[in-house]
Amino acid sequence: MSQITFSCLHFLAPDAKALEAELNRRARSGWALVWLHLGVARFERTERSDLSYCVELRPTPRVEERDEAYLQLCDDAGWKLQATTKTFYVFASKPGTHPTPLQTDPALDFELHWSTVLRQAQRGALSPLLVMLLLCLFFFSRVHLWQAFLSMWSLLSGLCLLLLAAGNLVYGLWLSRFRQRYRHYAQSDQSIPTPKVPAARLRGLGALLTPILILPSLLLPFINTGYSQTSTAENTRRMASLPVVRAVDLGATEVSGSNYLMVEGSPFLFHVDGLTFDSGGMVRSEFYRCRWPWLAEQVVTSLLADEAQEDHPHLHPPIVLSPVQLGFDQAWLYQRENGWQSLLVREGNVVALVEGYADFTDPEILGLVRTRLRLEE
Amino acid sequence: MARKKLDTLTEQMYYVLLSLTEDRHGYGIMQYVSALTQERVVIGAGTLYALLARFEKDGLIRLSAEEENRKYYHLTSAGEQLLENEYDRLRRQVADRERVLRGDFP
Repeated sequence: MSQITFSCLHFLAPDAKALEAELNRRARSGWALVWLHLGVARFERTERSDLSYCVELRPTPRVEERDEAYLQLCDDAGWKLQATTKTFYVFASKPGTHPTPLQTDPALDFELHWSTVLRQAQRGALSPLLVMLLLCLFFFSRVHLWQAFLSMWSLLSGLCLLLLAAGNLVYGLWLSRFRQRYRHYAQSDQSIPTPKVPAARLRGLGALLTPILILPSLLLPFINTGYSQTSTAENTRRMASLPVVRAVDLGATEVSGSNYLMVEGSPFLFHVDGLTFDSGGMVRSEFYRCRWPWLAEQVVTSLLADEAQEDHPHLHPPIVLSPVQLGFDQAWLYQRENGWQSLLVREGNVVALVEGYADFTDPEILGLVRTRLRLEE
Repeated sequence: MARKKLDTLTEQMYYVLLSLTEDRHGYGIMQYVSALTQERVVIGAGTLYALLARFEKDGLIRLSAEEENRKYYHLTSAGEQLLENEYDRLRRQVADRERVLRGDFP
């Protein structure tokens, strides 16, 4: 039989009593704690039947000299300091002793240690929620929520953020309830409630996972998996096979070599943005293929709002598109006197915006647009 | 229960103060109280340490000596007065009970 075993024992401060219960359970099974570092514990086989543990919150800050006096008192009382972590003192009973538990006044213990620890833990659980809320407000005041579907990395980041928020919320609610129960027990001079060990282990694991989830949440949205190029022959070649309306499609004869193409997306939302130039001006084409109708509706609503917004980066002054019947599921049109028009259409789950010097009410032009945007497929 | 003022002592507080009518260190206090009360009142080291710190801060006890990380304490006059007041309160409680039992008080 093995004489040594290692175990992950990462417990949060409010779960001190759960750690104590776990150590006592192992002691009854013949395992004695040797050390506990960074949530990893080493146990050795023991023959002792009188071994028990007492876990205390480590007071901070406590002057070293006072610490020694306290540890001496504990030692005299039969409790040997077995392990020290950032959060806990773990005491083991000395052989042949059956020492009195370290805390025999629950009300005083709550007043001196636990009320502060639980308040701090609640603040600690709520502050990431607050930071996430502020981050969300900051991002969504600049971008639309549906834009997260343009990249799998952004979706993954959102998932991490959701997991973090849910985890912190559940922990914060548990702490609030635990604190109330604790105060009630302390006021009635009863022993404090011991949190369930599996749940305490889960909370400890959650605390370990938090930094692992925060990092990708912050970094993943910056991973660019799309294609974005300015003025290249590669763009011209790619555009031919993509759902982009080009200047040449609208009848331009002198096409400039300048162009811009961006292709991005995920299985849920595919987006192509193309700019082409002719001697008369520029043709802009945006194409969105959405996985779900509600996503298409979101895209349409945002595009209509963006086009009318003063501070949105347009390639033209703000415009208000009006609904028109052009044979699509939905269509909006803006016509300028000089012949420049902006057309926004929705056909099923496809949304497209085309702008340029063209008459989009002309059935022939519309036919070309339909063909280029693959709306006939 | 939060005890902002030490106007009413808990049993553990009372016996800690009572034990410090003579110089004693922490573990000495624990042994003394346990023996005096025939183990009816036992005080944990953590609780005792917190009480000693509070009593010292409130001027009820003072550090009288220190040997090998063991601190010896003794009651101050304020501590003696508090203990006396508590004793009077407890005695009056007992006397009241006896009066009721004897039927001296309706």
